[in-house]
Amino acid sequence: METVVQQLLNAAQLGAVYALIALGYSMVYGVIRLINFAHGDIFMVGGFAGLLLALRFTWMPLWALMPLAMLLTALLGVAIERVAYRRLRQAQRMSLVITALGVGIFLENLVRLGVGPETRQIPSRMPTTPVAWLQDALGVSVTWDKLLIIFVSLALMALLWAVVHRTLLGTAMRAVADDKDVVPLMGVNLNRVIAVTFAIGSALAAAGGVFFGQAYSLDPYMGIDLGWKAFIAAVIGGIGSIEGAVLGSFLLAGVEVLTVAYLSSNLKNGIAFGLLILLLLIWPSGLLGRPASKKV
Amino acid sequence: MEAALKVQGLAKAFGGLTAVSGFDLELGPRDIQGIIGPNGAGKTTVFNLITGIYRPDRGRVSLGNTETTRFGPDAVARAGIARTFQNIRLFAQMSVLDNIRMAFHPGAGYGLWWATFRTARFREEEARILARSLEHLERFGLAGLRDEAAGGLPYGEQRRLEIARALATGPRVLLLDEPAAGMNPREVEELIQLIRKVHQDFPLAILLIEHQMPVVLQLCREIQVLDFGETIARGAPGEVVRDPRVVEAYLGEEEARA
Repeated sequence: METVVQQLLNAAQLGAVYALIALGYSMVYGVIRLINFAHGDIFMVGGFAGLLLALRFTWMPLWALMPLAMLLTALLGVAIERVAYRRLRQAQRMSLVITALGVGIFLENLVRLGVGPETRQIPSRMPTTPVAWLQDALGVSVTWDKLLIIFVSLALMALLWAVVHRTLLGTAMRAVADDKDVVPLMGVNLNRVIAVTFAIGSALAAAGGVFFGQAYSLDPYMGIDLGWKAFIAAVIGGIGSIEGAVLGSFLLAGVEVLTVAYLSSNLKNGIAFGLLILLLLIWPSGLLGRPASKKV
Repeated sequence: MEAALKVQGLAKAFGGLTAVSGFDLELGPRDIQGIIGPNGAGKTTVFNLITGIYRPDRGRVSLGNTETTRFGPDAVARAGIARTFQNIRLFAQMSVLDNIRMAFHPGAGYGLWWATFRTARFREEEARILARSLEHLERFGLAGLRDEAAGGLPYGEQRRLEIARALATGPRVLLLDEPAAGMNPREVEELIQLIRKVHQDFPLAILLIEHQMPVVLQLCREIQVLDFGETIARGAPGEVVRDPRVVEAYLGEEEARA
């Protein structure tokens, strides 16, 4: 029983990081119907931004370092949209997807060139002391950093939910998702709404990267594997849906962690992708996705 | 009297195909004018050119003293031109209220910073827009439907919401693209009343495209007839519909349809 609780806790930490990445996939897909294959690499760059900041400003606490890494990565996301994607918005879908793949490869090699191919870790800025009362209650090892990752991620997701559902900016984002050609006729600058969407998605991915770099490790190619996982999570949950991305992430992380713990680590990816296929056979639009609507 | 909307020599070709050639229009501040013509005559293209969705090859569009020819669609909307579509285009999955809030949006500061940190000024702005939106819905008899998904409303109500949403942007010129399309005679009658009321209550000019003659005959002071992208007749609706060239353009089409 203790080990199950322990594994679920590990899954929650991993799921939180998946969710921070998956939200970006989902949001960008929501507004411009693009699977942004560079998004996993944006997450990776966010992690490295955190690493470089941590090495350069050793005095900087996490609460300052993380927002700074998020800001820098948000600017990167906006720049990518502006330079690479915007002029292709009316082009064939395939051009945009291939461009996204290209941007991803570019980022991987840029980082590899800049900081080298080695696996690095962000010197942890989180207290790794055990949480005594929770340990006593659950009978398993619980450290503050793990709780911090889970709760800060959940707080960011709640904030995002509030922005999307409770503010005019969010109304504009949902309107773009609904019918982006009509949005400008409301006098709203469509490019600005899309840029803000990229900024938010990239910032969340960077938060995931900074956490991941402390809890696990960083390397220039990590965005491929983790990006795919988060993408799967977004699709399982129903791409375009915020709640779906979060649900899919925790579900996928749970399946992965439990597979490694009780079956075999070799089966981890097989089961994750198998789950994707199975769930999509039953729910083609994902667990919380809307059925594809026909638009003329 | 200065024109609210002035269009001179507007032209657009797609590939080798001329969609509109030399379209002129002068719409007074309180005017109602119409454009009629067979399908494919270029009527909707004219609307797309005026609203900045297409860039014209030649010609000028001015709204009052502002030339909007090169404006993007969002800038045209902010300058004061609003429109509806032949096939209604609401934000179908959003609520009726959110459709209207969206149109009141541009005046609001919607910076990410303010949205995220929900400053006092920001909350005030949102509360103000909510209040205005509700008042606006009330005015169009849609307040009871505020939380319904716009795409789920009956056809007539969707049309009313689309017009209400266009008006929420605060236009000086309202473009209606076949507002009576797909309506039965009773609904057409209601629509005519609605457009009359809109014209009375809001300080604006209306330009409409329509196939249903009752709408054109009862509402428009002047109409022009487009055929193959060219204006073939212009004048008071009662006279224009008897013009032999117009009859030919229309009957030709009716025969082709039959």
